[in-house]
Amino acid sequence: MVGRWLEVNMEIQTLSPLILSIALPLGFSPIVALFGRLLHPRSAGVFATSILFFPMLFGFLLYPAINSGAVVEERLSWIPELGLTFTLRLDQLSYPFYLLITLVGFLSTFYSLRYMEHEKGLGSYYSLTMMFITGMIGVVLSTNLFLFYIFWELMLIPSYFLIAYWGTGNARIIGFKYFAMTHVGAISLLAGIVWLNSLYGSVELDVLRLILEGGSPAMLGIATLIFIGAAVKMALFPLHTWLPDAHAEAPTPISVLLSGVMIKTGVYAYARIIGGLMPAAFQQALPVVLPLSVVTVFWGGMMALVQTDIKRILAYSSISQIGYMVFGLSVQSSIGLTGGLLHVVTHGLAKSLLFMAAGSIMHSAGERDITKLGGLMRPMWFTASVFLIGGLSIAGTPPLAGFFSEWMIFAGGFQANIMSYTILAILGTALTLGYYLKAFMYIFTRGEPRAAIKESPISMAAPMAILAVVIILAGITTPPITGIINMAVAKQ
Amino acid sequence: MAELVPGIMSIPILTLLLGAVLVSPILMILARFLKAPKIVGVYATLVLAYALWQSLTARPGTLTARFSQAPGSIIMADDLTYYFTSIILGIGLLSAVYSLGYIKNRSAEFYTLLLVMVLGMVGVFFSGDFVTFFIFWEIMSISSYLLVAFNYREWESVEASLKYLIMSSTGSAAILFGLSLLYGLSGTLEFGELSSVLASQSARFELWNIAALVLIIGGLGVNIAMSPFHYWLPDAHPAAPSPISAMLSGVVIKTGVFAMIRVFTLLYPAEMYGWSAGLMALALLTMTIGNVMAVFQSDIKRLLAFSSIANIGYIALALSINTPLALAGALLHVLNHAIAKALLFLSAGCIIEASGTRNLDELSGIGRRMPLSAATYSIGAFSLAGIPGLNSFVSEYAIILAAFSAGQFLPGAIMLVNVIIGAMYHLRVVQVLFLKPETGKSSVSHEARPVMLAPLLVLAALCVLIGVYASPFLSIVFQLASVPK
Amino acid sequence: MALSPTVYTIFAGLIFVIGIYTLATKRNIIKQLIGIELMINAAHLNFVVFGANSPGGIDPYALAIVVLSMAAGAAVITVGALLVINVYRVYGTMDLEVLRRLRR
Repeated sequence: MVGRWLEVNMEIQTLSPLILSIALPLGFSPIVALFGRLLHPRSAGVFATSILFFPMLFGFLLYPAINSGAVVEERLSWIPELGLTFTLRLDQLSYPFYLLITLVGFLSTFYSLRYMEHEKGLGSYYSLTMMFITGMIGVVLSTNLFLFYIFWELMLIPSYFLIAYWGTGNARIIGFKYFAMTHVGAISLLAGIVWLNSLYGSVELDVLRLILEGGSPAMLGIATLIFIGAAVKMALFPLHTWLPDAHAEAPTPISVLLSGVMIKTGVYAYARIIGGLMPAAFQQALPVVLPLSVVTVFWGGMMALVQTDIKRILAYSSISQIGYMVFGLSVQSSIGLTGGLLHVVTHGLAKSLLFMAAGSIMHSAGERDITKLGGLMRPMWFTASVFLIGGLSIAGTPPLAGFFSEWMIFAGGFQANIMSYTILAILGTALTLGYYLKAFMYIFTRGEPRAAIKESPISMAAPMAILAVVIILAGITTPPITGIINMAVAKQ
Repeated sequence: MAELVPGIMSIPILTLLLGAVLVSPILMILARFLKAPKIVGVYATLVLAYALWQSLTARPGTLTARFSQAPGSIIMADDLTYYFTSIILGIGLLSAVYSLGYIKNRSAEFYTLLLVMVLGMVGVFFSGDFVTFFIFWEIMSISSYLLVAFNYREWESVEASLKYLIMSSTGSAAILFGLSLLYGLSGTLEFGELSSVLASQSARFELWNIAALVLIIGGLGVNIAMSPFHYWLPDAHPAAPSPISAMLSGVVIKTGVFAMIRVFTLLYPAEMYGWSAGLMALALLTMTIGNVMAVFQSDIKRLLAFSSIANIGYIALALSINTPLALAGALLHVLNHAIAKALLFLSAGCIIEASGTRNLDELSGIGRRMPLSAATYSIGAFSLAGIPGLNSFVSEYAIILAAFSAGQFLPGAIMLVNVIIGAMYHLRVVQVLFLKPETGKSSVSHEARPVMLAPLLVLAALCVLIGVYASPFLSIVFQLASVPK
Repeated sequence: MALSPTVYTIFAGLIFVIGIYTLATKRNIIKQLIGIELMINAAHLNFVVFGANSPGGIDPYALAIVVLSMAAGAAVITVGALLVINVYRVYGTMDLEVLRRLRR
């Protein structure tokens, strides 16, 4: 029997960027944990950061190919019995997500080097961060739903530990709540996937796309199950309740990853599976999804306005902005879709910047309640300016990056002739501007200047500076990513 | 029934184990005389390792052997036999290695009983008629009672073992009564002849035949702890020494699963006897009770025992769906649950031995003192929680997929909900082990010795391997499941 | 002029049911073991009846089964008695209702 037990036939021809961008962080994560235990904890951080540089580098190197309309695909044979291959594909839809994940992943790990230096168990921290980032990369690259689900859960487990162990406040309870809600969502997603698999005998997106073009009787049920899974992950109202706690109490670099990047994988699942595979069910669901997205915009905005904890403001702001993305994706016009996807990138960059700035304030001032802060303008002028840039970009102020995406979302809304919802959504931006200006005023301009507080170290300022420059450049020039998104929209 | 070979000698594994068991009492006395009880442990480990090698390299194909042409004991070996034998011997070998470090007192007796138990299980897999089956079944049961009561001076072991004995021998008596009815109907107890007799239309509506089926399945249901006969399991499995808990929860209840597969596929085809709906109802009840009860446990081993009940429910659900995909899922889940549950009980054994308590509240934060044991425990817990990338996910996916494909949406959905509940309590334990502040008992604990950690690492590696690269394992179970009945 | 085997089978079934009844109602552990023994012997009775009534004369197969199974049953009861002694040593009683410490 031994012959059949050991029948392993891997077909790796050449090592290639997409597989490497999964294999490098995942394969080196135990080694990083070992580094942290045996050598100095900082060496683990440096090592993790240098590993995470490569996926980002591959992202930049692949830009010309993706921009010219090509698709990068790599395939390994995996489980032929269930009709599965291990195929990774980077196309125009997944490229913006891939770039965002790898860029923010690299910068937030770099940011952790100083921010987390006094914490315990840093080897495990960096190791789990790498797994978390791998999970997100895998979600946007996988081409079959089985693999998609594996990476979907690979995001969840490490991030649960990161919140529950290194988080602040009542971290264990919050972590458990996060795990419980997200896992229930994931099981709903799994039910949808299994249902698809049992009906059509395949989970490959390409195969399903061809089959589902003809429509299917069970489509609405499947789409609902998958949508619930995606909605929990992106924290759409009323499934958002885990987000404010988890994002506010996680350690700041992980808040950056959660709020800046991870919730966007829910948007990706919505765009890829429901929008891409089941347009008919997508249309039927719109009367529910559109109001929900607008409610999400207002709920998040209102709650952000009344919070006093700086990270909680940012967390509720993320809920509000997710509402815009879902709105853009759901308005049924190509410009709205482009805007929604572009908003994923612009919001991801700006929210990461804001969380990093909040972390820098907490690091220097040791305080996170905005009513007790104040007068930080002079000592922390750099943090103040990047906070303002991030906040204004999310509020949609020209000429920052966020302006373009929100403008396209609203244009899409008008184009699709859903006036009332669009006008409500535009009114929502006033809320956004309101709570960001309020926070800025409370933290920086109000009260006596505090000279004793020092600006954060250069290794925390550098990632913020990079993100701020990207946001400004993307606002002044047309975002180069827009061309790619346009191609993705044309394919949908 | 491809060949008819005279003599039991043609099955080297069974001969080897029989011989080893017969020699072991002599060795036990010798070891006591020489004051070197480790001899028996090493001997048992080597025997199990050699038998495992024999089982893995065994020639596939069906083989039937008997002593003479007259009716008597029949040995039957097919691919299913070797699949289960390899699982039992693998887990048995790792438990034996682990016990080298774990069992301090009376280890000579312990290993003798362990060998007898393994012989009983392997014999069940090789039996070609119900008499041989029943004798080996009793050998397995009796040695299990004794192993549960291994610490016979403690109230817990004695009470648990007595309850186990009463329940399990009632089940055996029910099986025996069912067999007597079968014998009265057909005049034989050989699987081959029975299957042709039972396949006839006249047998189908015979009242005694239905009674025999109910009694045999009920008796097997007691052994695999199917609800409503599950009450003994949460008492008996935690009371045993940890390596024996791993054997009981990991593989002994799988012997009952094997017997069910034999009875259902060989003797009572579902198309004729229509047992699917009843078995499905019991399976759903079993998994729900197991999972819900596990949530409320504060004893780590009792929680694991309830989780075993739940997993038996998953396997029984797959058997009741009765498509090739479901059967393949059930067989793979047998392997996966054996690996993961053995891993959990063995890691829990390390943790319990170091801290001296089984109470979850007192174990909190022990992961910082015992990182390897707690980490391997977490891998097993996440595996059974159905986290993808680990082994149980593949088989649970296959079972749910089979349920959906067969149009059984409600059972599939109930199993999904059960998987969620399972994830919750498994995660709770991991959280207690790693994240809660340390207590007096957990803060003084130290990592276990290498001889106990080695089996843990092997099992954890298997969990990850099957989860990531399931293809060879799936091809084996699909081949087993598609064999024409 | 022999009775039909069915009569014996019904009688054996009755003994089996009495065994189950004993297990369900009696609190004494010894009585529980006797109940198990009743169930096993009901099955033995069945084997003997069917073996004696088999078409080709008395079937030695059935008798072999009974002898083997009696040996196995004796082993079970021996282990059971062993445990009963230990239960009595630990708990000082034969009452099954007292053995409830495990179910907290």
